[in-house]
This record gives sequence, structure tokens and C-alpha cells, in this order.
Amino acid sequence: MLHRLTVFRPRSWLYVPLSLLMMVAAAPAESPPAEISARIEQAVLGIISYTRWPQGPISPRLCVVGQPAHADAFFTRPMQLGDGAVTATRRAVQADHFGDECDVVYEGALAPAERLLLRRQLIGHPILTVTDSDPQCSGGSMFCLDMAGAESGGQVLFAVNLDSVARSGVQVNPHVLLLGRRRKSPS
Amino acid sequence: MRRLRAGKPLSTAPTLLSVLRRAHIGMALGGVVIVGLSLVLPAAIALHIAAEHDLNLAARAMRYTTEAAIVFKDSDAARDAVMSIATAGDVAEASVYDRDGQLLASWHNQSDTLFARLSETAATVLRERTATVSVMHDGQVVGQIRLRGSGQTLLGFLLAGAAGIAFCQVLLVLGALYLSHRILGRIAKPLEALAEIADKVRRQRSSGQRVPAARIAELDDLGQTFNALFDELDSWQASARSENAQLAHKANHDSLTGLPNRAFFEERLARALVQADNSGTLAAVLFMDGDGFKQINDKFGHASGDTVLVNIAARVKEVLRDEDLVVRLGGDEFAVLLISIRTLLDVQQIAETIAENVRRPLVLPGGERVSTSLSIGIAIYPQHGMDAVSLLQSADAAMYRAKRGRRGGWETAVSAPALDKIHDK
Repeated sequence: MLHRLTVFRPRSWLYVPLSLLMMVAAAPAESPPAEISARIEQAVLGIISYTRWPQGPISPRLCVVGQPAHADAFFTRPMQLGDGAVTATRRAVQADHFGDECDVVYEGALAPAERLLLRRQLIGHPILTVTDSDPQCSGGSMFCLDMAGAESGGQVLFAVNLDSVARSGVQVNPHVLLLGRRRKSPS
Repeated sequence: MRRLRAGKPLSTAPTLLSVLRRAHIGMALGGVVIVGLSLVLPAAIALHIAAEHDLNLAARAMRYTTEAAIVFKDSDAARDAVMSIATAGDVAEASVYDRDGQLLASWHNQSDTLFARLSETAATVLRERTATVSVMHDGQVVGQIRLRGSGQTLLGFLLAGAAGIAFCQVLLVLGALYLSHRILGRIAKPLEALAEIADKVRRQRSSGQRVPAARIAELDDLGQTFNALFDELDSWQASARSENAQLAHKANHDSLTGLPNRAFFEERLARALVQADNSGTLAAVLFMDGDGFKQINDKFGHASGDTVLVNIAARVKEVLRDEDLVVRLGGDEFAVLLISIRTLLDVQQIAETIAENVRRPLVLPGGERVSTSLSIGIAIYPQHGMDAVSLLQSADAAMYRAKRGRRGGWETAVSAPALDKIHDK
């Protein structure tokens, strides 16, 4: 398994010390921002890996909008996903043809007006939406990351807005939907 | 013969029942064990293989349910996903590892029943089964699932098999006991009958009984052989008895006249005296001697003498009652025993009748007519003697007196005291 990993994921050796560190540092309250960022990256990549776009296999383009809390990892190095890669760019909500140039939208903190504008921009485009600033998951994003869990050293948990998933035009593997829904009720 | 039926065996050899029982029970137990093992062992092996297959199937199923949880490193979700399959299957322990080999989630069968603990032990003894599968996502290995089988199914089957064998053994042992009793009945009954009849024949020297037919050929043959032996014994015995009777008759009778002899007379006389005492009647002895017999013998030959004797015997017998007895004491001497006599006169009349009957002429083989006579001495019990010997002596003495008097007549003995006086002189 490690052998295969080294073949397909040249950088995976980084994760070994990282996850070891995670285990050791699990008990203390605060995790370093870089680590939180990496965990968020993993969660987003995981969601992307379970998402299928109508136009078939693609190298997804990730657009970051608003003020994300821990989005540094998206830009520090190329994000590997399976055999392809995910490219990340920062976008303004007001930009033209925004919907045509993104496959994944990562929403940071947005003003209500900006959020409304974003929703309008995305209508009619098969785009996966993930937010880090909507714990109630009622703002129209498909996946809502739970930052509280990530910041206290645990896993990055998330909730799923099934209405948004249904309207989005992308297909999300039910395994992930179950994972999100299951998490929501007990917590 | 009872020894056939458990009872108290006379010899130290085992009884037929115990031999039969041991053979039947041994056969039943051995048979069940062999058949049971030959069924249970292959089934257990097949079950073992099936259980291994099941474990792999469960692992493969978990691969799909845990995939997302492993990708998101979600321990709780991974544990739930594993548990939902593991609890339904024969799984003792399930562990989920992420791509770095770190334990993400694990599940343990926590049922702490005796059976679960036994299964745990059995699983270790019976080479515990494990299954390992890699979890793939987007063509990449993201984690691993390891399962350990519990062996509950196999143990359950083996226990059920053992219980089944034990149950069958109990049933078959009961059946064997019943069977040995039945067979014992078939074998023992003819043997018992045989022994019983043989015993009876040995004790009583005779038996009209024969061994009944048996339902087993060998025993039937044996019984028939014994029956033939009994038949032969019976015929030997019958011939021996008749021979004995002939010998006894010869010993007690005179061959010429067919009359009893002296020994027989003395025996009957002794009995008659006792009888007379008991009944209060008299008994009488007539002592008789032929007159002129020697001359007939000399003159006409022995054959004529014999004819005379046979005639005398027949004529004396003619005039007597059935219960009276006439014997030939030897030569031309005869004696008569009369019982249940009332008076001396009766006896004297009988003596007279005898004398008259004998006096009638007779024809010899040569055609000569001769006449003979008897001299008769009468003695009455108890008047003329208190025992057989003295009574015979008295009668003998009276006969001699008769002979000295007129021939062919009779004399009554003098009473015993008088006789004593005569002897004293």
C-alpha cells in the first residue's frame, strides 16, 4: 500500500509525519493554523472525489470566494486528486462568467448581499458548493464544514443541505451524503 | 436353567444376556460414532471453508460501507459502518486502518456469554480465520480492513453434532438393550425348556414331556436331538423295567407250577400277621405235603411227576379265594395262607375241600389214571404261634401228624403251650 502510494502520490510521505503529529497533538486544545488548513483541504478534496460533473471526468477548478478562515493550504501547493489535480483561484463574487469558470466554489464569510449575488451567479451551472461559515447549513451551500471541530483538534465534520445537492446539477455519492447527515443529527 | 436369565450364575462365565448386551451396545455406540463422525467431520470442514468465505465476503462488503468514512478519516462513521455488517456475521473483531496504517476504528464482539467465550477459545484452537481487504477510492488505496472470525458457527455446529451423536447413542443403547432382551428370549426360552425337561428326565427317570419347537434352526435341531435321546432313554428304561419284572417274578415264583415260592410266602405271611392284628381277624397257614408222590415219580417218570405237581397246584388254587395264597415250598410241599378268617372251623372246611379236590383221579401224559392226596397241617394265628416261624413249625408238625394218621386228611396244630410241652419231653 505504501509502495502504491509512493508511485501515485509522490508527496504522500508528508502525510505520515503530519498524521503522527495529529495523533500526538490531538489532546491539546488548539491546533496550528497550517494543520487545520490541511485538514480542511483533505475534507474538500474528499468531497470533490465523491462528486461527478455532468460533463464527465474533469480536473476540477476550485474558486475561493469571500473570506475563508483556513484556506491557505489550497494555494501553498498543487492539490492532487487521484490521477488529476485541483487548481485553486480566488474569485470575487461580482466577477463576470464566474459560473462558467468554476467547478467547485469554496465560500468564506460573505455579506448577505454578496451571498445572494453568489447564489444568482451559480444558478444553472453544475457547481459543487462548500462553505466554512454556515454552521446551520441554511445559506444554500451543499456542504457546510464545521470549523469548531477542526479548530479543537478533531476531524473536519460537515453537514449536507440536501435541497441544495438536489438542485446543484452535480452528482454526489450517497456515501458522503450519509456521512454528512449522520453527523448532523447527533451533534 | 434360571442362570440364563441374569439371576445367580453358577459359573463365573458371563451370562448370555451380558454377552448379547455388550455386543449390541458396542455395535450401536461404534456405529453411531463412525457414522456421526463421517458426517460431522466433512460437514465441519465444509463449514470451516464456508465461514472463511463469509468472512471475506463481510470484509468486501465493509470495503464499500467504510470507504467514505475512511476518506474523511471519520472514526465514528467507520465504526458504525463496520458494526452494521460485523454484528450480522460471524465476526469477532474488525479493525479499520487509514492509508498511513493508523488504526481508525475497531469493533469487538462484546457479547460475554459462555458460548461467546467458548467460541473465542475454539477459534484460537481451530486456527483462527482472518480476512484482510484494502479499501480503494478513485483507484487509490485509502485504507485497510482486517477481520477476525469468531468460530461461533463452527462451534455451534460441532456442539450440535456432538449432541446429536450423544442423543442417537442414548436411543440406540436403549434399542440395543431391548433387542438383546428380545434375542435372549428367542435363544434362552428354548434352552430353558431344554434344560428344564432334561432336569425332569434326570430326576424322575421318565417324562412324557418333549422339548417344544424353537424358532432358531440350531436350537430346534438341538431340541429335536434331545427329544430323540429322551425317546431312546424311555425305551431303554421300559425294556429294563420289564426285564427287572421278569427277574423279580423268576426270583419269587416256581417255574414249573407258576406258583410263588417260599421267600414270597414268608414275606406275605409276615404282612398277613400284621394285618390280622390290625383287623382283629385270624390268619391261617396250611402246610401240605403230597402223598405217594415219590412212587408216581419212580413209576411213571419225572414228566408224570411234574404233571401231578401242576395238577395239585391248580386244584388247590381252584378252591381258594382270590385273596388267599398258595405257594410251592419245594418238592411236593405246598403251603396256603388264608387271611380274614373268623373261626377255626372255616379253615378246617377249606382244608377238607382242598383234600377232596386233590383226591380226584387225574390222567397222566401216558394216559394212566392215578389219584394222589395231600396231607394238610393247619395252624391258626395267633393261636398256634405268635410269629411266622413258629406258625410254620406248628403247621408242619400238624401235617406230620396228619401223615401218620389217615393219608389225604388234615390235622390242626395243638396250641402253642402244648407244643412247648411236647418239645420239653
